[in-house]
Amino acid sequence: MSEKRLLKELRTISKELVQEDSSLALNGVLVLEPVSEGDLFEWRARIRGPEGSCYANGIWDLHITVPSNYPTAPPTFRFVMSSERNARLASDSPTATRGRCLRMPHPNVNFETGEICLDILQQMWTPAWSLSSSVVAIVMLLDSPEPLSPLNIDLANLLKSGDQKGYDDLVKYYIERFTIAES
Amino acid sequence: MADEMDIDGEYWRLKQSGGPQRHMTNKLAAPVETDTTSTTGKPERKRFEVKKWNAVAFWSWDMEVEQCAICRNHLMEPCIDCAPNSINQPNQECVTAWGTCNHGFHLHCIQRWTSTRNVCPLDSNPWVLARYGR
Repeated sequence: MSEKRLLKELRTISKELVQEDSSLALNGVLVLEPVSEGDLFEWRARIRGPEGSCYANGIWDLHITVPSNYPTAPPTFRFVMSSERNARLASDSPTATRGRCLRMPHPNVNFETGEICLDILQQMWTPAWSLSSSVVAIVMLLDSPEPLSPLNIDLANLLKSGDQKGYDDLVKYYIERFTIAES
Repeated sequence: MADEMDIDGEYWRLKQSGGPQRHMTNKLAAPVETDTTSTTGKPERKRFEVKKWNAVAFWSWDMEVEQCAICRNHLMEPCIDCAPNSINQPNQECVTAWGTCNHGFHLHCIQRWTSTRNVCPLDSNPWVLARYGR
């Protein structure tokens, strides 16, 4: 079941990624593909932060693990982080071309591990969701954080106290600080 | 549709009053007569004559979803697990199940899901099976 459905999804996704008006393209999903050929249970994604939000300039990578009983059980999405050493290297070369960001400063994302707290990927999951609709949901989460179930307490508290300016500035600072040059 | 219902209504009324079939036949035949004869009773040249008739009909399944949201196969086809066997075993039972919410899935697919969480995958309300079959 899972492998056959994943194959079906892969076919749709590769068509949608090159189609300008698809929901993937419109929501800034740049890449969504299996990590290696012949294994449909490990995927990677690359997303761009939503226009008009404090995430607009960032690019992030996600790692996706699909369980063997998919789509009864949800896939696991995690932002790809990097070690502090790599991150320091990045901020030392500010002139390099902007690449992806190695941290996700967001109330519902664990700053150290990249773990995501999103109800539809946990207790609200149903098999009507797909890899592509889940990635789009994650992009949308960036622009509409839920500070009441935080994985990043500091950012959640800024939002809860109503300091939108402080929140936006801190997010932008982190994105600047942890964005590396693409090799 | 409305005409049919009127005739039905009339039919039942007439049947109850004791004069059924003849009245209905008269009513249906009436327009044909006025087409071919004038009000004075003399035959008249027809204004229109139908020489050719091309009937065109459209159809679609009368349901809210056509694809099973769980396996993504069409509901009129077997589910993704039964599909490869359907050529060898065409009589195999892979039927569609509808909930009271009018969302349809393959019975195989929805049974697998509801054993995990008993909600409709499309609206997240408690799943109540309304009917299943072809």
